[in-house]
Amino acid sequence: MIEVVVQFFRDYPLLWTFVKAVVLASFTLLIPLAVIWVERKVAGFIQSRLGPLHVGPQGTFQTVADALKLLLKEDIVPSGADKRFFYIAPYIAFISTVLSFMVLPFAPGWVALEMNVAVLFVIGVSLFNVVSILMAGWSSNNKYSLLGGLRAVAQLLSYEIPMVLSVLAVVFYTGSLSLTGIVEYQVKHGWLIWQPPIMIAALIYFICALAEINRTPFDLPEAESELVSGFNTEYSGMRFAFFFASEFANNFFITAFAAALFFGGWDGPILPPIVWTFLKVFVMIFVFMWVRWTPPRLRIDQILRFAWQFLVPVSLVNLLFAIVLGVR
Amino acid sequence: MRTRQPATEQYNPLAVFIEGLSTLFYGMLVTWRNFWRPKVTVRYPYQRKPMPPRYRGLFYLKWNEEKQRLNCVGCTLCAQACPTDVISMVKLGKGTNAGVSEFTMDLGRCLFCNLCVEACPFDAIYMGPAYELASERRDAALFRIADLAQGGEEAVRTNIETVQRLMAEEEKARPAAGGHAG
Repeated sequence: MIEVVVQFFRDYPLLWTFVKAVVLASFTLLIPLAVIWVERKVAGFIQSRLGPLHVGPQGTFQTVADALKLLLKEDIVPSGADKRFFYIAPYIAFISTVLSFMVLPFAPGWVALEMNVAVLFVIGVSLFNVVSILMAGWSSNNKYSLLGGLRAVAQLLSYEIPMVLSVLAVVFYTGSLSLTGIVEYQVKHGWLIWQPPIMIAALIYFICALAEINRTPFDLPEAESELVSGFNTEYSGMRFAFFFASEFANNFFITAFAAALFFGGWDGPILPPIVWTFLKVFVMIFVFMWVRWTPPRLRIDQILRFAWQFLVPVSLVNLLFAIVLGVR
Repeated sequence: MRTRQPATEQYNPLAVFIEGLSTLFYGMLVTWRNFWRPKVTVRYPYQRKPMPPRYRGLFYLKWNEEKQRLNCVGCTLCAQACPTDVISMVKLGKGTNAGVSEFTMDLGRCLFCNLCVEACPFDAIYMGPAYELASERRDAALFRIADLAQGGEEAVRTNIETVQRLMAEEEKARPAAGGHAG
């Protein structure tokens, strides 16, 4: 039955593309519901609380209720806002996240767009996120938003470099820019995380990922105690929901990307590949949340110094090692 | 990462890095342990904590099982001790065996200061563990004798009967001293 349906869609490539786009967009909208629930549960447990409990079993539908509430909320635009940019910013953030999901292999063959330069593509579209944050901060006509946006750009651009360099180490090791290719290499040769230069690359990637998705030791763009809510201070209702969804979908994506690069993607015994992907992703998301509730927030100069004076040189040297050890 | 170093101390980035990393991992260990610790949340409407014995909740008038009456003799010492005029009562009978037929507390005014309990020489009034006293209506803050007495309506009825019987017995035992007792 499913084969017949799939075959039907394969006969009409345009329709098939449309179906894939709809599925990916809904996935990007729905996965934050799960991630936010996990986040709130983990936060509660670490603080000796129970987290959401009442809506659905163990509070699983709490985030659904929250999303519905946001849908019904008034959409407020500040009077001095640059309206066009203010309107469009959350959707740019969301689209950049959907585009990243496009090349992500969930399981063998489960990839919306098989691309031989997937890694490059991901790095390219993830920069759109920075653009949207700057647009939101700039157009809100609010000092907190502007400062949040500026901080975000400074931080995200700084951390993009060591992140790309550590991803490049993987590329040199596997000799492939395609995510599927990288995962298949790991299925054949074992997970890359066990290779010494890649281990360091994974650590750098982890730190940069925390900074890229604005999580706690590096959450300056939305530092609540300083900037109200940072670049999305003036947003409400559906637009805010889109920013929020894109942030948590990015959280999911950046861990899924790490799983594909370092932890063998769908590779694993017994369980089906898709389960392995999600298992790895959620373990890493748990680690992100665990980190979130442990160290305090850094200052902006500390963050930038750490990126430029420590991470960039280390990742460059590490890249050199990866090239020497990896290229055959 | 420390940024500002004392001028005398040699800045050693590696040592700072290792120190920072070790403290980070120690912090992670702390939160990891906390993750598995029993939770402190009391899921209030479904779970309740037992109140401590000296908790100042809803008042109760003590029931004396031996004498089959409330300990209260209607002396109004509690009402006089009260700074916000919460208590009003109607005395039943007279003398050492007197009682109350009506004892009303307007808890909308009450401070839960315990002065009435301290003032009582007859062990009659106490504060209990009940704490859900909020209401949407003002008259729900008015607690009558049946709401306050240990044993409720039944106890109040028995109390009045007992006190009236005692009064009658006293009247009978008293040497006839003229008919102006009423």
